[in-house]
Amino acid sequence: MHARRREEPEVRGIERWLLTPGDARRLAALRIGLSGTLAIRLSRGVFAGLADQPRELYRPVSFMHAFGSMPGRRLVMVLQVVGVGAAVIAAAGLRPRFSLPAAWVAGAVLAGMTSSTGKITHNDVLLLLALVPLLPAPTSDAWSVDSLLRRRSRPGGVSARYGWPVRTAMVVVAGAYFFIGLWKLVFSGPAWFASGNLRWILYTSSDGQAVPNHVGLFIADRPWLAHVLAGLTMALELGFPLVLWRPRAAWIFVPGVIGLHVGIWATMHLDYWAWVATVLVVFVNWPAVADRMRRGRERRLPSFAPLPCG
Amino acid sequence: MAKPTDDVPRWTRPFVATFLAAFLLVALVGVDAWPLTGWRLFSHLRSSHQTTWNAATVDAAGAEHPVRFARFPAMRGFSLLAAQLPRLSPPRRVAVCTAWAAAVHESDRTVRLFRVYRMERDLSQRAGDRAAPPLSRTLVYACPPPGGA
Repeated sequence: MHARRREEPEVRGIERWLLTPGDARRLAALRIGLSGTLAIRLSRGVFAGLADQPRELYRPVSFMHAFGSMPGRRLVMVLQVVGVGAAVIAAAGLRPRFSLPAAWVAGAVLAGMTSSTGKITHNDVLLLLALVPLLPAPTSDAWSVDSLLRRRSRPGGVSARYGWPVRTAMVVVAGAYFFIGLWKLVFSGPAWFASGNLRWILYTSSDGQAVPNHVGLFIADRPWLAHVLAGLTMALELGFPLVLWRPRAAWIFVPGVIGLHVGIWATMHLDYWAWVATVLVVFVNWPAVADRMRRGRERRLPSFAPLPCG
Repeated sequence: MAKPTDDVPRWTRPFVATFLAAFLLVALVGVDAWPLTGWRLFSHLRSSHQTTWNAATVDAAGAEHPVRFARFPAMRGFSLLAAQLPRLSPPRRVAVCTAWAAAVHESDRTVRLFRVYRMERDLSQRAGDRAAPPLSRTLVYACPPPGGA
């Protein structure tokens, strides 16, 4: 009973935070940015390459068990055409309550294909999960074809209806980084950064590439540098949720994790560009950027304030 | 000014609560329920001792050629499946190996045999920009492509 009494104000506090009014334009920016990113991701050739993979090699995850084998070329083509088309339409803000779920379902199946080969691939999962809160949300009340057609654009509209999807997406992104760091700590402990762990990861990756990766080797050959970068990685991941409490911390964590993904690409050639795009779309206050651009203050940097209220 | 929580539809709270609860539960348990995931990325500690899995094809003259996995999307996940090969039932092992052999044979009709190797390396031993030669290289399995011999 005591625990319950203590918990209730906290739950109410979380609920209040999630349902704080937000700017319709901020939500529209998420719709445009995340749908646009999804359209680009779904247009890649990797899915056609996986189509018709022999049944014996198929290792389905979750709902992918519904397919007896890897989806065939024809179905993949249909999913790509529908997915890319729907994502572009959603980005434009035309009936996103229908177009965005259509794009999301196509994305979940296509990205599910890459995860049904024996190992979960996380390249698109953050984007897909950050899109979930937008699926039923009123994302086209600003910066959209819908609002132009209705001639009742509400560019300055502020409401809890626009706030919760943005904040829920923020929780998903922050939570993802936190859990990635947490599992490193659980399985490896401080040895993740205090041992040669990162050096061996980078050597393995370089040895597997057609041409030795000199960026990776530069780090792997310097144990002190590998320790520092591994420590920074864990600190960024575990500390990322701070941006939910202290929006100004985004000035450190957002460039930090973008640097992390750029580093991963440079050393290991792993494609986490969808994560970079998702973090930027979700955590940059795009209406503030637009306002500042409109006022001609181009030299000032964008604000990372989570949601302009009032 | 709008008040917090003033005008959200009735379904909003259960929707957000259910979604975030599922997200947290799957993340905390560490399982994968795609697209929900346990977020285990590079979480296990690596050591300088490395076990890798490689594949090679053998042509009609008996010459061996390493398989370039990047050329064959169907070979995605090869290392994980190869590591499971010894634990598979004999018919399943044949089926998996033959599927790999078929994928390679499709683009190179000279392939007569597909071989799977397990290699042990010490990553701390370097030969220039590459790992030193493997400590051991063991042939784990071999199979012809379908219709091949």
